[in-house]
Amino acid sequence: MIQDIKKEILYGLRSYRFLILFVGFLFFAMLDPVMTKFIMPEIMKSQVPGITQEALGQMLGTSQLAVMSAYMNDIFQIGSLIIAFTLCRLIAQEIRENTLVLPICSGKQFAGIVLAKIIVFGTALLLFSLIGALINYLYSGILFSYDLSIISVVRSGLLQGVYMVFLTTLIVMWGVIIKKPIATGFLTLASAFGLYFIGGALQIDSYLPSGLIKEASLFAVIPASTLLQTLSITVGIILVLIAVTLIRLKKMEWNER
Amino acid sequence: MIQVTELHKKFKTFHALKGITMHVKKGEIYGFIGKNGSGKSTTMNILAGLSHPSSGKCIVGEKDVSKIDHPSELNIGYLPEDPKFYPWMSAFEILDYLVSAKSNRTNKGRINEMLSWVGLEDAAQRHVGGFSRGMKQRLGIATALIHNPEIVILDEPSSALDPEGRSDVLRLITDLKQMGKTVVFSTHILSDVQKVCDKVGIIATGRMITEKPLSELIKENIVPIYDIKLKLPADTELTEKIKELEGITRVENINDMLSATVTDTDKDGVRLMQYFTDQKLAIRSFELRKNNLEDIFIQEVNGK
Ligand SMILES: Nc1ncnc2c1ncn2[C@@H]1O[C@H](COP(=O)(O)OP(=O)(O)OP(=O)(O)O)[C@@H](O)[C@H]1O
Ligand SMILES: [Mg+2]
Repeated sequence: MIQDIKKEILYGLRSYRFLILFVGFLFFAMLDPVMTKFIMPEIMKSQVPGITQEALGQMLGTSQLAVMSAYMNDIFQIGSLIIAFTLCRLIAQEIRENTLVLPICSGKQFAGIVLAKIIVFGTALLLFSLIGALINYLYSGILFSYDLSIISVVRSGLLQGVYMVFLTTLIVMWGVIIKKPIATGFLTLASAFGLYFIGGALQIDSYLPSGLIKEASLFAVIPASTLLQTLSITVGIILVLIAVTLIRLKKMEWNER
Repeated sequence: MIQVTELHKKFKTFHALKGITMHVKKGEIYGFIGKNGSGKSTTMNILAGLSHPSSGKCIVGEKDVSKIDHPSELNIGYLPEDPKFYPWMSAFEILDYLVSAKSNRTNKGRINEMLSWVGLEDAAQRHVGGFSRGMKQRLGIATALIHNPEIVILDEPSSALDPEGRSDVLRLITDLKQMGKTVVFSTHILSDVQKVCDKVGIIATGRMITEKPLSELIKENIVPIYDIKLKLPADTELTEKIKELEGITRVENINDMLSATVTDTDKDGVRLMQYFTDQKLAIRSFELRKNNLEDIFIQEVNGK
């Protein structure tokens, strides 16, 4: 298991996966406040001549809360996209290219291989979510004002991180089922966004992982009373996805063309 | 050690194995030969527990391959036809990673020993992504043997190897035999089979058509022809005289080489030799023509 984790860390570093993901978070964390402060008003002014400063403020939002909520949304939408396609090869490629054949013949257990992937990339994404939220807090604070409490920012960063662990597990499960990297990316996004819309439409967010994203973008001083329930359900779903992955791996035929 | 009975394998629409039966005894070196696409790799993948039989029984060691939860329960060493590695890892790191599956400690000594055994000690720290096909093959052999297994299954171990590498593989297989290991390997290089195998299995279109000890196979396929070279080239008169001898059915004289087809290799051989001695004809060479495995293989595959 330790060796599996070491292997995944090496993969993350040497294939630049960690770097790509981190830069993705960093990009939105730094750019979102700058966009809202400087670039968007200019664009709006050129599109709608004579627009008043108040109207602009209402449309774009000039509070730290508005900027940070927008950042959380960007990470959920575009960030998920980047993550899904950066990590879609995580296990699908290994099955397709037969790189798992020798490890399995040497006695590597499926659980170790799968858990190592989820632990390493889940932890990385959790860290990046937290760091991203803090950097965004810093920038939006400088450009607007520090309205939010650092505790709620840390909490939101961590909630987003837990959601990302769920997303990683989803990538691994689809990868094992479909064995094709690009299709894995699309199926992961379809199921992640699908759950989000269903949750919104039926108002059952607190029963779904997407509830974490909703809660995270509120930056509430006191978290919703259902938060613990949402967290436990998400952890439960992660465990189910891992179980499906392992069952599927156990039945798999290896070294196919 | 390995018992396969009536093994079938169907891929979606293609019936690849149509009843393979094979027996490999402990300590035996088993050569598995057959044309491209005859089903060697398919069979070996099943032996390694990586792919599931459609029907039939397959016992490897003491285990039934249909009843295991994980391929490594078979405790064999397996070299796939086209071994794949993580290109971003070094040869040393890969072996280190694979060793860790069965022991907790890094066994630096064992890894370096394996690397030098397959001639990769100088490339140990290089990333495998930059390895040539033959270097990957050598690393594959090292991975197959890293856990020191009792049964070793090698799918075309000498493919992509240079002449030295090929003879290294033969040396390695003989080493394994001396250690009492059981080895099954497939190859297209029949002279290699002739050099090291105890037993040969020939398969064609998913069926085992011949399975015999190598010596028996060769004996059965002896052609009853003596090739004789005399000191003085034979003339037509001598050729005619030999033809009249008992048991001789045909004599040819090509390039000063007399080729006599006989009915009974032992008796007629003695008679021929006797004739030359009686006639005081000096003999340079006197040989029973041997069919090589190549000929036998072509006969078996096309004849049945
Ligand atoms: N996954 C698969 N799906 C469909 N057909 C397959 C699959 N794997 C193998 N086959 C078919 O089964 C047959 C046997 O293939 P196999 O690889 O076992 O041959 P082989 O004897 O190893 O040949 P070679 O000497 O070229 O390595 C071939 O006709 C091949 O096309
Ligand atoms: Mg093959």
